[in-house]
Amino acid sequence: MHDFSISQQIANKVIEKINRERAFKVIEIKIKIGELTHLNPEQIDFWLKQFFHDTPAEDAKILIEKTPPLIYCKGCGYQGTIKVRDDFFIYPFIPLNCPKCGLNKIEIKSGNECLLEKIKIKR
Amino acid sequence: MDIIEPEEGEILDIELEEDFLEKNRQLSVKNRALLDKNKVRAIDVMGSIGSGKTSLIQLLLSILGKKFRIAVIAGDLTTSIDAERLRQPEVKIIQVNTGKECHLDARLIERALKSLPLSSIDLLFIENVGNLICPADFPLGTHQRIVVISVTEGPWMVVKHPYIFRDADIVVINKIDLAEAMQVSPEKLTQDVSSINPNAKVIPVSCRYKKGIFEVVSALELNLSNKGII
Repeated sequence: MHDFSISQQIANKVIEKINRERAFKVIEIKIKIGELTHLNPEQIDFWLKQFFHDTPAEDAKILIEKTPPLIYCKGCGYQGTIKVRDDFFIYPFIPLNCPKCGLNKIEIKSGNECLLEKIKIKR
Repeated sequence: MDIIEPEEGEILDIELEEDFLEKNRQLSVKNRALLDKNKVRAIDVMGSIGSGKTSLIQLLLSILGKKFRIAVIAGDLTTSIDAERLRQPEVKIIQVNTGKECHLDARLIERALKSLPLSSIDLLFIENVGNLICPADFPLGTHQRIVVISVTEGPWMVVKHPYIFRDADIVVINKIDLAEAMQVSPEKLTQDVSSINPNAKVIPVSCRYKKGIFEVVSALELNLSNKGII
């Protein structure tokens, strides 16, 4: 739901940067979205295109990568990624248990991010 | 001196590495530090639309108001209906209107905290926007998070919105007086919460008949010392 306002913040940042860098055109925008957020890449892509309309970023290729969460298990010491099972057909939902020992005693290291990683511009 | 200028048409990679959700988390840490400095215990009350967040806070105010100096920040898209409902002579109330935003964020709370006399407050309730999705992405800096749902929303409210329950300290299942009529089992909802977050305290409540409110109070673990709540 907050894809709109997050996209607006991303777009403002990109436009601020291209003005400062006197960019003639933005070629590519790289974004990383953690799988634990409630952000939907498709919606972010849609809104960014709206915000970039009539700006040098209008034709930019928007690359959005979904990043899996990194966890640390306080039970067995497992450190690594886990699969987020949040498709609508899986029930009962068993979220975020350690893939090794199955316990729900995990510390989330990453997966909550919405990162504007880099942009490629042409001057 | 030679100055090397980029040529026309030069292509540049610009690293930005800016995390838009991290900004909120950093602000929430600042909010927490400010609350701690002033010895204010803050509780984020989240939950679905119409689940009884305001009713629960009303009842908590009536019990805790004699013992603690309380403030409430009420969040909604628009109107000050909730703030009016909670109005009491001894309670400081701030209405935060988010406009079109679906959640409160740490920046709005930072602003609200500036207009509260924090040094003379023990307990702060923050009523979030009615929503089981977005507030999960935006910690505010509170010490505890309550999620309120009610049986009238049907049997799938928990499993459909797992993320918000993962970070909850207390889950209130409200309107249990209507459970039978709704054919919704509070026990099943409790199990659903426990499978997602075994550490959450789940409390069946009827705000209308004032049932379960003292259990919520004790789950908050408010011990008053002469320096405030510990």
